[in-house]
Amino acid sequence: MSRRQKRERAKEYGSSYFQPDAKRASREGSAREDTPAYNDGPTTDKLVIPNAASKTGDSAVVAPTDEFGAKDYTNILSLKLDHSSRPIWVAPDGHIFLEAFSPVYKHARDFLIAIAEPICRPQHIHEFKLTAYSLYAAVSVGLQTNDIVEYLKRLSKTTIPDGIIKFIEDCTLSYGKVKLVLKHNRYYVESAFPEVMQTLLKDPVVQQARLVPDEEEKEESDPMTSLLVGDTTKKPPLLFGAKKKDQGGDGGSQESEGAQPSVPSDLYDYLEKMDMEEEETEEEAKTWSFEINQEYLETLQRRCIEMEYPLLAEYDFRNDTHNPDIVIDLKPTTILRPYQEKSLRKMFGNGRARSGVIVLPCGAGKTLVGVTAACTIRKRCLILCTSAVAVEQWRSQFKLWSTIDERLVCRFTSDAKDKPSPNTAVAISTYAMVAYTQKRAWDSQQMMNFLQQQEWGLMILDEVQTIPADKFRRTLAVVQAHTKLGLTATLVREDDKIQDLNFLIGPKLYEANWMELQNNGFIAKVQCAEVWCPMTPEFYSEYLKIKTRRKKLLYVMNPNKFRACQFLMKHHEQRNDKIIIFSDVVFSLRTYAKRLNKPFIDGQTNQQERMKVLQNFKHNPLINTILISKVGDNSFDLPDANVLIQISAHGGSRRQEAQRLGRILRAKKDSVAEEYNAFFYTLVSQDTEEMHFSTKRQRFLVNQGYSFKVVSKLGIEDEPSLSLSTKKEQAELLQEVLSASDTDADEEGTAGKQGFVSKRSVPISIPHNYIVCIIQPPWSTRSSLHSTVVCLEKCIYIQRVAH
Amino acid sequence: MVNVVKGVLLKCSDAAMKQFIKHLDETNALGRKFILHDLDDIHLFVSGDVSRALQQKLDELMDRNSYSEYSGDAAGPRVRKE
Repeated sequence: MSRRQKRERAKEYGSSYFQPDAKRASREGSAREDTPAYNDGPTTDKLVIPNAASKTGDSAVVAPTDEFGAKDYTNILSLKLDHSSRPIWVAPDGHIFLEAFSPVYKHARDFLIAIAEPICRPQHIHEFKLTAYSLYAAVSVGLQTNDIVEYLKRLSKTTIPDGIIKFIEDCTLSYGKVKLVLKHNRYYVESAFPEVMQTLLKDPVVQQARLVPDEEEKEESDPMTSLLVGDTTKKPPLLFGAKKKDQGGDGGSQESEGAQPSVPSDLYDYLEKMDMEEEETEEEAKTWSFEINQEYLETLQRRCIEMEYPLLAEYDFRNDTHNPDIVIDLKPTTILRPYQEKSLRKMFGNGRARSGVIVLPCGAGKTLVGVTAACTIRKRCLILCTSAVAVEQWRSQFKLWSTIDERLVCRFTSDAKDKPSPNTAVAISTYAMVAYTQKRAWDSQQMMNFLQQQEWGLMILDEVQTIPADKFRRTLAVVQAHTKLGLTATLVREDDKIQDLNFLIGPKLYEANWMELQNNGFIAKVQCAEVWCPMTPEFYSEYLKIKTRRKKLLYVMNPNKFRACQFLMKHHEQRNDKIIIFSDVVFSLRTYAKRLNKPFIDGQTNQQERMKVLQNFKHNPLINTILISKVGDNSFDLPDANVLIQISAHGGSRRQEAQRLGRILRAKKDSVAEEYNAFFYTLVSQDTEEMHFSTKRQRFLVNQGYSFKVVSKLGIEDEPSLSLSTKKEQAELLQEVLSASDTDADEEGTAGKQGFVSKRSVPISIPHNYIVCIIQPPWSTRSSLHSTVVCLEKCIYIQRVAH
Repeated sequence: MVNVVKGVLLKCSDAAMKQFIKHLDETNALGRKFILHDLDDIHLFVSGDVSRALQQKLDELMDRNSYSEYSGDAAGPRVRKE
């Protein structure tokens, strides 16, 4: 790992939402490293999880590779005769390529989403990867080994490599046989397979975790003392919301029905079967179970993964009589979108609730998914989010979508503490509040006691990707919940800790395709652009000299960047757009705000002031632009904003880029999907390290199918209406920057949130003096498979020194 | 006595690039001073034998500032040779 990556990783930690000051951040950082359980996470995974890459790597090595890294599998796989009507390629290294233009695309996609991780989903070819975790997730939503292999065979253009079949079998045969059930606030391990149970009980770790010291292990009747007769009832599939508004799936509408004849019939037969199975997989006779000690819960979970019997957490909420039902329903007017319903169906597939993570883009209605889940389970519900603003939003969303009595909703933040009552149905708090370890005030201690004593039916974890694992552990340790639902838009972190979620919460249940939601008008259609701003000679000269953190200020404060920002702002203000300018560096945020004469919000802005600014932004036609520091990265909802200008960002963080884009993603009611109705500009100072970070940040969005337009020249050098046009003004600014200290260059370490929507759909007109060029993402060597990239005009990245 | 020095006229694409060349000169990045005369915003007169070394330094700068997923942090394919 290079030094820069390390630095970045360190920064990533530093910025996590729970660290209000640097001192704390550093302490947390070191503490995290000391936690042994945390460190052996990846190692354990490596030891025990059959990794697709490592396992099938051997056969991949055999394949000859050409000079661009393309692998030749012609000798390994043989093409089927009717390959043209089958949509996927399965490579021996576990990667699966799906033709998005295939007539059976929709079905194949649903299937692949269930069994594999989406890697990259541009317009024409989608790439997936089979991993142990993704297969685990597939099993947990009810797919069987044979079905997976069989269906994969049918979909594939070629024969399936043996290694892949073996891998699927290895990963899925043992999965899903053991369940972790929480009853009456006690954990039990449950299984319908006596032999599995025997194996488990013989393991020393499991024995240690087992709570009731039994007599001795003998045959299957006695040691498996509690012989529970499982329910044989077939449960009707759950209906979410009042009406099903069938729009043909979340991406369906563009599919043409006419293409069907070319599809082999075996594909369709199987499709129907698969769909049926998803609904009911309830056959049961006897189940055996033993109780386990809560302290060893995590060890046990790990151990079970090691033994290839991962514990599947399920909650049979309909038969739970111990916990009182709460009175909550969706309002009759609430309508779920098809993809929301689909994600929930994964969660409640067999009439029970499964723990897991649902991934939906920002602005696609994650909150409604959470509210609906709560209305389905109808038990006490605890919601944890990242900030107080988000807490308020969840509360209002509950009021908006469901019939819940307002008095039964209880907030627990540092500002707002509602008194809990025995009837409290929904509690909303922040991670920081719950994981706090210092001494608490009396009332919050009362509240904590309340949280700990309850047996929660559902725990919703908002923005689950931001949670550092140790914080999260603490949260899980203090609160008991039957079902854990993680919600996020970006299941990526710059470190590799995202895999930890798999055993902390559960598998990924559903991941939406951004491009499909965009094409169907559920989220705004965003034009992403990277605008290159040349450094002025004076600033660049200082930039080269300075070796400290202040370097950053010089490229953020680059006068040409300021002018570009001002130009874009004016351009969009004329169109009556609502504009948000983001800057991580507070120093530049304030300088920009002062010079542009616009209101701003940063970490030090108090709640009242924030509300005032946001209200004005929403309703006052005179306030069309605001500047926000990274407190605005992910919560507060600004449904009107449709233009985002980013002047400085947090290193190469992909998550931040995606979250920021999320601020303008919320769909407009009258949005026309053919035209761009939201704009996302990143201003980058040329020839500085910002270029590097910018490309790095874009990876996530590019993998979701977004393309960034590079504007290499705005042509605003001689624009007299923009400020900082004279050398003198620029020199003054330079002095201002140079007198700033290193700490001014630091980002602030707090957080909040917002989210928006675009307003009108007027296409941007490109002035004739722009040089516009769409460059191919430089990191893509698989270019031939990606969407065609057209160079409109040759873009000159840097003109070399000429003689 | 006339001193004859062989030199090259260097035209930079923008003023910032000239600053970079000047920075190289000031920090002795090539082991010595090489700028013979500073002409204007984008023109420099430099020793005739440094153009190759300068080219290389510029490549390094470009590599440093671009990102490629496959080669990690360093060299990216974004640098264009002319």
